[in-house]
Amino acid sequence: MNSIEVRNLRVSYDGKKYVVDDLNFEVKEGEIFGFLGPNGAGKTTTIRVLTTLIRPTGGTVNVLGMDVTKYGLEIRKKIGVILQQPSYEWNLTVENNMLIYGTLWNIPRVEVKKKMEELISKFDLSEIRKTMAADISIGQRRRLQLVRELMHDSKLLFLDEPTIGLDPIARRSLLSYFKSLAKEGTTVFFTTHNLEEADFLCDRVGIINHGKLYAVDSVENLKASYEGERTIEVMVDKDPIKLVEKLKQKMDGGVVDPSTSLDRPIKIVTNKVPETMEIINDYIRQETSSLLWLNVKKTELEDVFFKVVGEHHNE
Amino acid sequence: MNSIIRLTYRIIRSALDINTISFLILLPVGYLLIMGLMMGSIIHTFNYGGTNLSYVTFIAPGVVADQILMGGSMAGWVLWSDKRTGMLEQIFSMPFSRFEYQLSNLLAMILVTFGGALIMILVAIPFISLKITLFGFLLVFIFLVLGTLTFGSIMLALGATVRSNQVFNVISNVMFFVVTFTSSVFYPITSQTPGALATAAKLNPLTYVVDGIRSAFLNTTTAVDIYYIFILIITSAVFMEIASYTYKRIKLSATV
Repeated sequence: MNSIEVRNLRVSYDGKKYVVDDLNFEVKEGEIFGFLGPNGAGKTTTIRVLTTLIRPTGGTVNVLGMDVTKYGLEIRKKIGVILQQPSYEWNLTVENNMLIYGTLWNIPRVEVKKKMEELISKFDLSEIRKTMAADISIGQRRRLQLVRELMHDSKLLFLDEPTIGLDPIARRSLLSYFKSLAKEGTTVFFTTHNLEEADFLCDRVGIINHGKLYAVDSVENLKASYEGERTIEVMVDKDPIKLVEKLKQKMDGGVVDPSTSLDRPIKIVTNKVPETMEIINDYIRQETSSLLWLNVKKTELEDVFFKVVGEHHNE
Repeated sequence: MNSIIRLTYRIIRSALDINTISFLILLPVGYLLIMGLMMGSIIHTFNYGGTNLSYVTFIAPGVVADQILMGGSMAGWVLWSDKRTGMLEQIFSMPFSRFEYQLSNLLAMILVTFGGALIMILVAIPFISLKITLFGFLLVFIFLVLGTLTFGSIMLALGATVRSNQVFNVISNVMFFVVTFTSSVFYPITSQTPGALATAAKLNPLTYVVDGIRSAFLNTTTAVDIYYIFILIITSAVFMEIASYTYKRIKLSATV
């Protein structure tokens, strides 16, 4: 059974431009589905439709078998939502933030306290439990926001870039917890920029850019579909922008990272490694530049993402 | 527990801290004691509806009624605080309707307003000649509820519409000033009142709240005061509907 079914979803805020355009996908029960895309791709808008915060402009969206335009309240009773925007009760302690959240979800006081103790201990919040939310760090607030949502049971959990601001230990601990929730039957819809996280956590991923969904598959299948591809990382000491331009002009197929900067290798995903190396060699000779770094590796999820987004960058 | 009660509890518990509630109550008490007593040293007694009153006795019901403006602006402030801390969007993604959030905000303000009014009445007792009856208390409660629903809804609609906290604060301060001084809080509206001010007072719902509470305090309630209740039922229904309309269209954060 599908927890989410999206058909021809379109969303426009101004009636002119579609920020989400003709999306089609489904998420199976108990699955962890990763929704990947660059900034402004339409991830948060999609989550807002799925969580009934906004109405779609067109198409049909069913969450847990219910139409989002008709059964908003019923859907919201069964889902958990961690929004990208931080949210907290600024003048309550961490502990009281959790208690009041339990009250809002109408969980009996005894159960709330038991769950709170369990989560405080599991996510290492003991030291700040009596501190006001206004006085803790941004990362700690994010942790509180995440942990608070775990106070109640949900059949479907929406996580909009949940690990932003978290330290690596907290991040890993939360991702493992989400994995364990999925094993117990909770469906997880997860958006992230961090492709390592998606690789670690997700059963399937969808790649969205400019409001359109360009790929939906399991991480393994996506990697396999780019099996012949290789990722070349190169750094030169002179004018890397010029090298990027040259690669774009001369390469037949393949994608060059459009966000190149001086302190980061240029990334090229291609199935024509020797030809590409030749272009790089020519550039080094002509510009009397030195090679600072060169690496050729098998394509990872990050490279798949980069290639899909890059191919549709100018659309 | 009912959704509205849970949301109301949350607002009282988290959005309104003890300092804010104290300020909400102490400012009107200050008005009553400082302005009432100081002005009372200039205006000893004057005739109001055929009775000679001390100025502090006259102003006390006005300051109690003025409490609804404080409650109203707090309703808008709670909305802004929830927007700023991300709680508004979070609550909207929980099993509550936007109308329930609006009602709970108003209910919280009614509780604060009524609590403040009770404290002010207790503080005022030694200084004024209070002739209130049990029925009068009921009328005071009704006027405060209807007044808070009216002005709370106006401030919620404003809070849901304007795009920054600063704009909200400026507009609410101007409104506070205009609404207070074009009502009968500080002076009676009589045949000698300038025409424009008298018209403004007639259009101002606070005038009906103040006059109704004043009649209850002086035990001079007539059918006119019951007519005022009907006017306030209509204003509160209209402004609650407007607030509800703005809530449906409230802008969440701008992230795509």
